[in-house]
Amino acid sequence: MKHARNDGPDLAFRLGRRMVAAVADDMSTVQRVGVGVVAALVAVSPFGAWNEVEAQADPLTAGTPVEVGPFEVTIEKAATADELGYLVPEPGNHMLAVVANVTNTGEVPVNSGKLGEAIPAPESVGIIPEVPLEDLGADSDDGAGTGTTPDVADPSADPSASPSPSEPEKPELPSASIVNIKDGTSPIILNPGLTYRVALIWEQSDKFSGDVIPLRIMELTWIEESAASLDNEYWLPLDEVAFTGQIPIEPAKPAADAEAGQQ
Amino acid sequence: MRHGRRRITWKGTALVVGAVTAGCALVTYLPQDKGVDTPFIVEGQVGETLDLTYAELTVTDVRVADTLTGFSEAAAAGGTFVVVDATWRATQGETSFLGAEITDRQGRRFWPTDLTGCSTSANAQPGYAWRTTYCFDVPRDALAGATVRLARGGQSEDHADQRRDAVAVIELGITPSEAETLWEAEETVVPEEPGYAPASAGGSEG
Repeated sequence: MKHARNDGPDLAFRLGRRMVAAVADDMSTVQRVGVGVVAALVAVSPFGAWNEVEAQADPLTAGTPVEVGPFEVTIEKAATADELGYLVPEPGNHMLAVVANVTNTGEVPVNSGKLGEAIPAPESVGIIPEVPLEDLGADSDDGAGTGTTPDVADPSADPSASPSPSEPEKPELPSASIVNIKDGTSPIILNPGLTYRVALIWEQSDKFSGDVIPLRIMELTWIEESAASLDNEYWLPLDEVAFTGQIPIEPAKPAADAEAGQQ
Repeated sequence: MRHGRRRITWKGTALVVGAVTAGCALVTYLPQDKGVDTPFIVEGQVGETLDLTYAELTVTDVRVADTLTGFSEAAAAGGTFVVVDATWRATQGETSFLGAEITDRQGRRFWPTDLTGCSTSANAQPGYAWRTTYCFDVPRDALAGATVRLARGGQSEDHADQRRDAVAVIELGITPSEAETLWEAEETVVPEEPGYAPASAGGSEG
């Protein structure tokens, strides 16, 4: 006697079993174990089974060279100034510069933007965030004059102020403006074998009163053949901190800075 | 007793795995891309006019400078600037010449700066000679034996835009002893703005 049956999942199960049986029935036990191990390895691959354990960032100190991607970077100091050449802050802000000696140790030129990606803006020290595109047309008479809230842990903030129940999205900090201290120009290309003394410059709120900044240098990895695009052979910044440390801020030296900009 | 089936044997498995491995090895290690990617290199010297099919190119002068001075700024070299004056004459149609780089004896590559009026590319109408100046910041040990590579395809890390196209590679003619002399000299160069080349530089008097 035949019974009506639901063919959906049962059919899939029977087909799967038949396929497995077709392959496995004629295998020896050793072969079955081998196939099982390979299948298990393949099955866990998409879930990060082979990813390296996240490495701890190495310490970053002023005066000590570190290697990241094609660069050897020696952070010299951090300094503040009312303005740096053509970079003039909004009222209530100043400019923060991280001075570094950077050598391209590779064999091909690297765009200076890659250096900016490797050394992102320090967080929680009042760096003025990028203005969102939708705010560019709006009036900006509030705050520090830019219409944006500085990324700062303000020690003088009202402690009684209750935090917003829905925390606003963290504003994106800008990439550094990179200036060649030797001549005050903005280098686009960093050629191999040359050491450039550069300043990575951000606009910072006057509300920040600390004497050190936390600086991070991100990992760069070489892409020989890109799987995601037609571009090959380039350095790709990773979301992984390679070096981190506290860099002391030196007092501003307007005369010296101005002289450096004139050279 | 079952019929119509073949047992999976170690021998058969080894044959299949071996064939796949051999295929992967062939694809990986055979230089199959060379024939597809390699540009047509046209070699020459400073002062020689090279035919690249899409243009005629003449490197007219090579200088070295510590400082470049332009209309509104001055640029100081990290090493020294190699200033290459060149004249392009497009022969087929309006052409952009996007590739410019120096290669040293170690195989290191250097790209030009766009500071102080130096060019990183050029664009020319057919029938006219277009003068342009490239300025490369290079270290001391890159001078001797360096060559400049100029083409319509842009320079990139893998020269992707120059595949199967004519590319000029010109000896700069800097010997080791000359390199020392050039490095020690303190020179300032004011790069000329790009423009129509005079007849003396192979142009049509502009």
